Formats: sequence, C-alpha cells, structure tokens
Amino acid sequence: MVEAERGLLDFVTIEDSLGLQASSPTDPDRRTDQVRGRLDAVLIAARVAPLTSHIGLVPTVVVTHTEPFHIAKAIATLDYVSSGRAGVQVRVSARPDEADHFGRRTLPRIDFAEATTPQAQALIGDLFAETADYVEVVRRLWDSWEDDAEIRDVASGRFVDRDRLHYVDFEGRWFSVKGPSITPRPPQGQPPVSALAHQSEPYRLVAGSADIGYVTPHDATQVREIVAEIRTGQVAAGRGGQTVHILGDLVVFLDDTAPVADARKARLDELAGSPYASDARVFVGTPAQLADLLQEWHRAGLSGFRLRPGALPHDLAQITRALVPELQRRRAFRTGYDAGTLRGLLGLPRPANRYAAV
Amino acid sequence: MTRPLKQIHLAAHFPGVNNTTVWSDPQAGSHIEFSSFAHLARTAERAKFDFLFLAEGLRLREQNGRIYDLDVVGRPDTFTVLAALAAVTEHLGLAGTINSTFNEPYEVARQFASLDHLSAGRSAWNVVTSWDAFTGENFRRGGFLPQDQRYRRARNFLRTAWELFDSWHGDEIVADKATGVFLGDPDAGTFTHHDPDFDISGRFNVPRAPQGRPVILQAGDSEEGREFAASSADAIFSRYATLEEGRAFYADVKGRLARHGRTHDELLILPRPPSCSATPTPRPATSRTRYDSSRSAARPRSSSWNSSGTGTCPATTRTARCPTPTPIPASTLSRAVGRAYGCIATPSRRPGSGANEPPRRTCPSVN
Repeated sequence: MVEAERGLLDFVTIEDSLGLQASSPTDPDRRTDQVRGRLDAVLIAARVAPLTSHIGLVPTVVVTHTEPFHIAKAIATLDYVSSGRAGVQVRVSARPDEADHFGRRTLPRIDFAEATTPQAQALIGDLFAETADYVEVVRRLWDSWEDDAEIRDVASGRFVDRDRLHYVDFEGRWFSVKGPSITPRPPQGQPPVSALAHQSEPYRLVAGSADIGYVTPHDATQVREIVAEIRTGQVAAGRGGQTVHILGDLVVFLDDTAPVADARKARLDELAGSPYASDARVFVGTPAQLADLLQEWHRAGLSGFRLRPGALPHDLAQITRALVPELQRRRAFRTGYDAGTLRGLLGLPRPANRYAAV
Repeated sequence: MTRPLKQIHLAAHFPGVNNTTVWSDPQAGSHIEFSSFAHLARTAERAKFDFLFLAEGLRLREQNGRIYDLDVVGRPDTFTVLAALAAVTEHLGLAGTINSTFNEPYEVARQFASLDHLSAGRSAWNVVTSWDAFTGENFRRGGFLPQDQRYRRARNFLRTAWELFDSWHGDEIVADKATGVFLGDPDAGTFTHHDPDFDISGRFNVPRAPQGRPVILQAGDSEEGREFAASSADAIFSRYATLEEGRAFYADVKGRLARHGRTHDELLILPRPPSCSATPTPRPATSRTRYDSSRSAARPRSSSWNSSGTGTCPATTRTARCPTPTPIPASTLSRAVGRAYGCIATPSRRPGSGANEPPRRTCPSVN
C-alpha cells in the first residue's frame, strides 16, 4: 500500500471470496502448489488505512450470501477510518461450495465459461439482479443519515435531528431492509462502487449501478466495443449524465528490456508448471512499451487502468518507479495528489443526499 | 516466600450509544470519528489495560415508533474499527460485541480470524443474542426468536465458529520454495457441521489465527446466560455493584464450571464499576446544577430506562466530564444498572399486528 501511494496511484483493490482459492470455477481442489488462504479484504483495508494518507482503499465484498446492512456500515466505517478514501468492489458468488458454507441456499454446478443454457442464463441474471438490489440498498443506507443529522442541541437535549434520519424501506426479492444505518453518512457521501465485468450482465450492472467498472479487453477494438456497450447501458438506465469510469485490467510483467521481461516470465511459468493465464491480457515488456499501450487504449475510451503486478514486489516497484515517471513525462498522469478523497481523485463530485429536502 | 499478588484485569469500554454518556459537555468529542477511538485505545494501552471493548446495536433505538434522539446516536462497524485500531496499538486487546442472530458463522469466523491475524493475536468476541423482529427488519435473516431458542442458537453459532477456527491446525502452510509445496495438507480447512441451526460444510479460507480462537466474553445475567458463560466463555461481565451481590454472582457462576468439565480459574469475572470520575478534584456546585437541571439529566426519569437519574458515568478520558455522583442507595443503583441493560417494550406499530405479535423492543446490545 505504501509503495502504491508512493507512486501516486489512485487506489488499490483487494481481492476476496467466501471460499478457499481454487483452480476450478465450480469445485474446490486439493492442490498444494498454489497459495491457499486469505484474510477478509475489508479488514485488511481498515488495518492499512491509518498507515496511508492519500491512496484509495477498495476491498472486494461478496454480495451473494451476505447482509447489505453490514456491508453498508463496514464501508462507511472504512471511509471514516481513512478520512474519505474508501470504495468497494462488489462481487457475486455462483459457486455451490461457497453456498454450502452458509447453508441457506443451494446453487447448481455451472461452469460460466460455457454458460449458454437457459438455466445458466437465468442464474446469472438472478445473481446480478440481486447485486443491483444490494448496491441500491447500500447506497440508500449511506444516504439514510443526512450530513448534518447530528446536531448536539443542548437546549432541546437532542443529539440528532430525527427528521434528518430516513428509513430506506427497501423491499426486494432477496431481502427487505428498513434502515436507517447505524453509521452516519460517510465522509464521501457515497464511497465509489466498482465491479469487474466480462460480459453483458456485469456490463449492465456497471452501467446501472457502479461508479467504476473493471473490464478485460485484449486489444483497442475490444476496448471500443466494451465502452460502447457500457455507455449505451448507462443511457438505458437513466445514468447517461453520470461519470462511470471504465478501467482496463492488465497483468503486467515489467523489466528494463523486453528480453529480460520475457525470460523472467518464462522462468516463473516453469516454476508454476504452466503458462500464466488470466481473464485479463498479460503484458510482458518494458514500462515504456506499456505506456504506449495504455495511451492507445485510453484514446479508445478507457478512463484508466487497473494494473495487476505479475510478481510482488518487483512489478509494483516497476509500476511506481518506472511506469509512473514515464507517464508523467508524457503528461498523462498526475505529479502529486491533488485531492483528499477517492471521489476527488476520480473527479467524482460529492453527491447530494437523495433524502434531503431540496 | 510471599504469594504474588493477584493482578486485576482492566478493560475500557467506549461509551457511545448509551443513556449514561454525557454528550452535552462542550469538551465531549465525536462518537464516530476514528480519532476518538484511536485516542481511547492509545490511552488505554499506555495504562496497560487488557482490552478495549465495543458494544453493538444493529438498529437505531426507537420509542413510540420514533427514533430516539436524546442519547448518542450512531456508531461505527465493529470489525472495521477494531481492525483500524490494530494499526495504532501494539498490545491492547480488541474486543467487539458480535451477535449470533444476524450473522452467519462462516463470515464471523473469517472476520475474527482475520482480525486476530491483523492484530497479531489480540481479538476478543463478546457473544450476544439479538432476538427481536424490530432489529430483524434490517436483515435478510434473523428476527424474532423465542427466549428458549436464543441461547441455543448462540451456543450452536459459537460451536460452529470454533470448528471453523480449528479447521486449520496451524502447520499447513509450508511454503517450501525448494519443493514448490505451499500447502502441507491438501484438505486444509475442511469442516462439516450440522445442528438444528447450522448445516454447513466445505473449507474455511482463513489459516489458523495466532490465538487459535478469539477470547470469548459473555454478558448475560439470566440463567441461560450464566450457563452459556460457564460452558463456553473465557470471561463474563458482572453487573453487580455491591460486594455481597458480587460474591453471590461469583459463587453461582464459578459453581457451574465443574459440570462443564472446566476448572475454577478458567472463567474470569469482570465487574463493571458503577461509577468512576474522570477528575479527582471535587466538582463545583454550579456545574452539578448545570447537569442536573438540563433536559438530558431529567430525561432518564421520563423514560422507562434508568429511573435513578444521573450518577453513573463511564471513565472515558476527555470525551465527557463526569458530574459529582449523587449518592445513590446500592439497591437502587444495581437496579438502575440492570435497567440500563434492559429493554423498553413499545407497542408494535405495524398494520395487522395482532395480540400475538411480539412487542418491539429497543435494547442496548448487552443483554
């Protein structure tokens, strides 16, 4: 985190899931050669918040199986402990083994890479519809306290003005939530909501509910297609005028020369037993070559990028100490932190409270 | 050789939402800004306190169908603020109240194990039951539970969580670069648990925490609460303020341990001091008048909470200045303290609610 902040990056995302990492999309495995075990992402973000001062902290939360009321106050609290630098990445869980960790619903075994059956399509639709509801509840809960609800009025003995506290009264297929939140309005008002999207349903989620979408194009043509689909979706959802950042995900292996980068990746692939595969394009080369790619895709319509270091700490240091200076030289990246909140860094204005009387 | 003196354990409770918190003093700080929590934590740690403690409340309290506005309202998420406090402390225990009704064991166990890792082994869990439909309106799951099922669910929840904590033994992560083996056990974290409340199986995804399990605290004073503490807790809070009552409680609770195969010293008893002053010097009469005559002091008499008025004030170090306590008979005080943990029953306001609808209760988190 500290290194990322040193490189003036906007934010860091932290992965998470409700099960052990697995090489299969549907079943747990018994592999012993890969990293297994993780910590809760929101708590990691909270733990490092006091050690940083400018960089955004965006943990992943799984919305399937969890309570939107808990997540709303957790991210609001992260915003408080970080003085306005919190965001969240929402994620669905379609895994039957993760559903069994809760025992409240069963999910069918479906490999979503081949998800063309009506059953699979229906399940995907439901999972993302639930996610859209979840985000709506969380956003309402963040607004359920007006900014000035706490009044500490000694004369009347009132700590809060209850007319500035609002029930959210959400009723949906998967949950009903009364509100208000137990936590006052976050410093940012609405911490940015983000989601990873590879196909139509999640693109629709990004367009309709998120402030940031992470997408995985492999060339500039795909960039244009994906951006167009999301922008069209925004208009359809009535959010045509809102800023929705679309960031391209890239796995990066960076070295001073391309042959060195190739050789390092080859060595790592050999140790791993197979070439590194990812949903995102894997870039192997120099920081300058990466800067060329980033600028090309930026011109094609992306707001920016989420870079996944191929190896830590090497590739993060390459990003912060080589790529960033290169982008700054090209006047394509900031030279200092110019805002105190994550919304500020992303150029997102602080939103008015939907419940406040005009 | 003289016997070493038995050491006292001290814990600091962040006052927050509570009818005894004096927020009206100009020096009273924020109850939501992180700086207030960090200040309390650092102060407690400087004084070598065992732990800091946070209560829980999962719905804003109401009276007569309206949000109650005369006490502190608003609190942070417990796990999140404790994880942040782990960054600004090194030794202080971090205890949070987490209920067993509006949570699932897999999630809570992940969070405590993660907090324990992130604090190098300082987490503690005050297990409480919430059982009301009122709070349940904020959640997908949970709601009204009859009294006799509350502690059953809490017991089952805790036992399930223990199985999850114990599903990793602590030696699974080998991370041997020479052989390329990360996990020594291909089935690390495997668990299965079936009881009337929880039917779950799979693999837990947090490796064994430094403490293994968080310290377990309990606060219930009922028969079921004491039995629950005797069977499962490391420490139980006591609300008894006189030596006589405290001794009776001690004898009762400690007397239950053998039945659960536990020894006398396996359960600590932590009483809550009835009042403590933040300043050693006598308070001038004028400021006592100011507190006694303010509406906030008169308010407790008008509600069905603490009917003895002021006189209890937690030691919060600079978040509130305590008035000089009015002398209060011990019996009244213990009743008042008990009432502070009690509930207000308000008539259910939902349309169609019949005579069998459980009354809405607005309860502080400690039961």
